[in-house]
Amino acid sequence: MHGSNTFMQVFFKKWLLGLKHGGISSKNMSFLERKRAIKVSADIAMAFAKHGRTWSQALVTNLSKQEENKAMVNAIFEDVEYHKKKSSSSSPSYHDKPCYNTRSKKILRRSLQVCSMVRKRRHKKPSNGVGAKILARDLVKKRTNLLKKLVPGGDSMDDFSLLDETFDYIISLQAQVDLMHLLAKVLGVLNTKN
Amino acid sequence: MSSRRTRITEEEMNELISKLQNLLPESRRRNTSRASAAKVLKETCNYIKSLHREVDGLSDRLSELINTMDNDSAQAEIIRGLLRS
Repeated sequence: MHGSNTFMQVFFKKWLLGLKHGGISSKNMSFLERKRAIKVSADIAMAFAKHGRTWSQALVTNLSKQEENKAMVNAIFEDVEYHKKKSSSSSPSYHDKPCYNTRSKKILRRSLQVCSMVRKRRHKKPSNGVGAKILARDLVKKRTNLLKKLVPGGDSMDDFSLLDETFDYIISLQAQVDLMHLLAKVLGVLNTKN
Repeated sequence: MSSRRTRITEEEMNELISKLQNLLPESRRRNTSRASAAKVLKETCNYIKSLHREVDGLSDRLSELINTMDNDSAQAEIIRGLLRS
């Protein structure tokens, strides 16, 4: 299972809180309403457990834009002040880091180059290597932009922060999947008639 | 935003890309040498999309499981207890 124990505990506890708040055990809910409550509460809980990360703040902001989510956000984040004081997150936050835009883009480009020698293209003579390098750089640019759309808050991140946030986001998503699997397993076991 | 710039070395960048590569499902199956940044970015995007799909599918399943619980059963009582404070 992914994620540290504390993170998983906080995540799961807040998720259950959200599920309770969403009233999902009520028989009056439609299938889709219940599904939505399950998913939204899982997302808010995940963001809460990773409080301080750029992606988690962006996720909560995005979810809070929808009126029907606001109450659940408030319910789960009610003790956010307490959480801030207790915060002993070992993972550094990159909020206060300056923008590395130009330099990190250059480094990404360089890491693609077949030749280790970096030459400035002063000559107009075409060579096979140059075309490939341009394509590779454009490809990285294109895919970086795709990644920015997948990670919450990605659009405003520099390349280095984007990769760092992506790493943390994926770890958190894996944990979310693990927890949902776990609950599904428990419910599945309880549902079988003897 | 601060105008002060800190150097991010190529090594740090490559380390991050490597770290990301190790997260990807494909890299767990074999001991892969370092892939290009372009490849890692592509696989990372695909992996995030698949994780999103998995969460969506599990939300469906959980909704179904909770729906099909027999309301009067002991099982339902346990779940209701779990969801109370």
